[in-house]
Amino acid sequence: MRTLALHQWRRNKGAFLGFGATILIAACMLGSALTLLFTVGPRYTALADELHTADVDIVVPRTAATADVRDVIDHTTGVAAVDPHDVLLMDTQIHDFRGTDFAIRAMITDADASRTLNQTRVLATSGDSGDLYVAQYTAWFGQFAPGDRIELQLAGHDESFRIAGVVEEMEFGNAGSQILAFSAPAARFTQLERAYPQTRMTEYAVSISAGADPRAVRSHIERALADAGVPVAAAIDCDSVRATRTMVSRLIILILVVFAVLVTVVSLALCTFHIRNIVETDRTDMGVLKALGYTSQMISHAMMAPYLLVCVGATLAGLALSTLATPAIGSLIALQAGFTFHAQADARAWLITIAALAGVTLLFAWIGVRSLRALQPIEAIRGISARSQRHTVRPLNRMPGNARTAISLQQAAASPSRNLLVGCMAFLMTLIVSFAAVLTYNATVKPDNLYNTLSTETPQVVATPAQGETTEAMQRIRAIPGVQNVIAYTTARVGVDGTQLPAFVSDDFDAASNDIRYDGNHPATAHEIAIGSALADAHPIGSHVTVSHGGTALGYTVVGYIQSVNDGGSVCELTNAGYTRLDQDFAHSPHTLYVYCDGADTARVIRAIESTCGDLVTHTTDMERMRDTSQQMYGSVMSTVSLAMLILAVGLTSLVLMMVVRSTIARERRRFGILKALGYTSGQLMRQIAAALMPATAAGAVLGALVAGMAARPVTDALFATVGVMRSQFDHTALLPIAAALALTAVQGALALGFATPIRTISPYQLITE
Amino acid sequence: MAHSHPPTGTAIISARGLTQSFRTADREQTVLNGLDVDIRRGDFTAIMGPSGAGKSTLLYALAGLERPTAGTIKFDGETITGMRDDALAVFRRTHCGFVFQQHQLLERRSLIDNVLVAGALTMRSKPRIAAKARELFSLVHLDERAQTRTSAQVSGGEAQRASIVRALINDPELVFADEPTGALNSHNSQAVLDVFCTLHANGQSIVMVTHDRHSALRANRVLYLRDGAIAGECTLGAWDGGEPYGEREHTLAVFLNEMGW
Repeated sequence: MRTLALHQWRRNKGAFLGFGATILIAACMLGSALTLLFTVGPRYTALADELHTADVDIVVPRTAATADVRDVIDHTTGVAAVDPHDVLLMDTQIHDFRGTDFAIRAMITDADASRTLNQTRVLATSGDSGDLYVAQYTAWFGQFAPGDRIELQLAGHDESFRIAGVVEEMEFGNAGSQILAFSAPAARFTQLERAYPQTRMTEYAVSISAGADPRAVRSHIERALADAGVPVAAAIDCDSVRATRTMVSRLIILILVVFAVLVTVVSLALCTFHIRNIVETDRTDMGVLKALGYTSQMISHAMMAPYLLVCVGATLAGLALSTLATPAIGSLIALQAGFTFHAQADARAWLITIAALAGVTLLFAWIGVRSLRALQPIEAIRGISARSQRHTVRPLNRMPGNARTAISLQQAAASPSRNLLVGCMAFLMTLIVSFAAVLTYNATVKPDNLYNTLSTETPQVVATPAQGETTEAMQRIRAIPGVQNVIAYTTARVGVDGTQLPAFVSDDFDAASNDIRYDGNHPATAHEIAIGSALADAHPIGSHVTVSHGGTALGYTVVGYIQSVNDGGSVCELTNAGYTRLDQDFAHSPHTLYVYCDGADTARVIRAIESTCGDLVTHTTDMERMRDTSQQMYGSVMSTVSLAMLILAVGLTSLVLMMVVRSTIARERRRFGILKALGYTSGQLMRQIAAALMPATAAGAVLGALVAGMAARPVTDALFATVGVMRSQFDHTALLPIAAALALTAVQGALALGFATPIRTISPYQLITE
Repeated sequence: MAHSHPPTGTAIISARGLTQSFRTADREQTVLNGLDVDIRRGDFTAIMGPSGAGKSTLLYALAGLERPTAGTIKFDGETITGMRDDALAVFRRTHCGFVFQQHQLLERRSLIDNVLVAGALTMRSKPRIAAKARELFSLVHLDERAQTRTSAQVSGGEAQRASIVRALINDPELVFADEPTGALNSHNSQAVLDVFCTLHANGQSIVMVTHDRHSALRANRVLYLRDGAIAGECTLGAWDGGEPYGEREHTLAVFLNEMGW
């Protein structure tokens, strides 16, 4: 049996190597995915435990943080311990955060105060002095290092800090919580407290009892505080934070598993196809072996053994490769999640990968050798092919077209298993390429589509008018040449169902450039509200919802649903009059102005606002720069992903076609020899080989384009839904799948022609006399 | 067969200084050794010789299937040695027909489809090729039922007669046959040779390699190949369809004896 297996290996080295290459890729992907699956979560949990991360955090203005508040929290069901701290919580802009201005709320804590919950660990320091510690998300993603200066606009005032160090923080250490943690040495913290007294808060870090649900406890506390009339500035729970921080790792694992499965399916289909080919071409030898006394089982095992060995070898090589790839992917996850993560090989991932790939290889190889059992030795020796007797090709006179077309069609219809393999591959590859094309198109050709899908309303310029100057500022800005529109669009905070969330307040939602509404309408009256996706299940359109602000709680009618990825769907929209019902002072307080112009004009418009409205506007922000930076980042990420998908698709296509064409040449050498002797040129035969694959390729590609055309929107919607997008703004033009199908068919045709070139080197004399 | 070819008797193929060597693992073997030969139009030429004399090699070289190591081959005055592969393929489809020892029909395809595949090289219309094929099938006495079967479903003689039809479908000037009866029983051999004689009687030029003197008797010219060169030649005159013994056999026997057969 060993001799037989070695014979198989020597004769079909190329096929085994091709099979091994695909298994290697699949093992690398699957190994990386499983390693990440088994290590990211436990690492997060270990860090959270190590730093005693709170299960729930409630932030209350210092003025409201009385003993009663502590009492309410202490007595909420599920609360085990509470650790209160003085903090500053304020709207912030971090300048030059990865090349742009990054707006987020900042929570600044006293770095020298001792804590039992939400502890931090210093990862790097500047070595000497510094007056601000930043979370590693800020350092890695924002591209800051210890010793660098960081410019923050705190509550509208610019402050400059020198970064003292980078800390690990598991609760507010990532933008996913919508609050980014900073800590300052005691002296600087006190100085900031004095400078920004209105931002002084108390953070109640809460640990919950075993078995309690963090989300439920948070909701109970918020509701209890709302009932007691206590304003809540922020409330988060560890589960929501964890879900946000590990979002990218989950997506990466999902994508890797999907691609690993895809590559595995292709390699196994190749394995089955190839084994069946060997059985067909070597049937005489196998008939002789059977006649000599070898059993079907012995021959089958000899044929399956090289595949199993190649599979195990390639899987081990792929897993070894994954030890290089996984840390690179892990660092990407760490960058987004903002916690220290160094991916290391995981024995469970290796074992599962080996078992899964070896198992399915055995199964598919077994399917491939099944026909051996039916092989009658005497028929095989006589050269009577059961296949040739059973399966004669369709007669030429029943084929459409002239003689040459009929011959091509006859060849195309000659091998159902080959057509199935090539068709399925064309179908899958068209799907992949279509999907990659959709991503690239919406991230690079029409970058606003991706940006608007993931963000809320983003004008070119945000202008903050001085007290009482909103109307005048709006009129003057409108008069600036190049300004296309100006709307008042202010973000306030209200409570819904006991949860504090952003409320977009405007009377011009319809004039906004990014329609974040995915169902129903924007509010139009003082009693209407549109709510975010996170609240949608509990509040159908037409129902009433109670909204609170300060000590006021009023009912509103839900008229529509909106999306906001950054806020996890916890947002709402109110009209000016609607919000004024909650906050009587709103009418007299400055509203944020959203200024729209051509992107290229932004800098000039900002200069014009500063020169003509300097007395009316306290601050302007260039949002176009942020949009450009984000779009470039998204564009490069999506282009890289798409390129990787394209390389994978073309690589797999090449591999499959190479195997199919080479095995066709090997199996049909005699036929090609006869045809060459009759006068067919090498070019004609090469074209015949390529043309024989075209109907299956075209059918697979057309089917792939149809499915891609129908499924691209639901699939991208489903993918985006995992990150909270309820309505993607992607363009799904039918041209993309059609172009993908055409391109793939052309590439397959060219590749098939290329792989058929060895036919040129063989003389018909050789082929006939062999 | 109706051809508008030059008159019979003129050389259709002229080979001069034909040398063919093959390199094996440890040595170089010369099969044809500076051979000169003319194949005349309208002749049924048989090439005989001992095993390993280079009969098939000569046949394939003359037909443009194998490139000689040295020497020139002219077909109707046009040099085919040195032609590129594709030009040689066009030459073969235009001027040559082939009948191999093993019929070399395509598997899983009916006999008629095998002929259509060859016919498609020069004709595009399926009905036109099929009509011509039917005419040729009737010439070799293969009925319609046999035509729709594959080579595995018919006898060796029927398959070989189908391969003759395939060789004739493009009106070749010359039919090359390599041991066409080598794998057939006596009855089937006679049937195939009868077809060749009929074709020859109709003016078809044929070159046939054989080691069977009964087959060679059907030819009007016998070349004897030895040590890679033409050792001798015997002219028998046209086969008249009678008993292949008597004077004709005697002439051939004397010739073969002289050649050391």
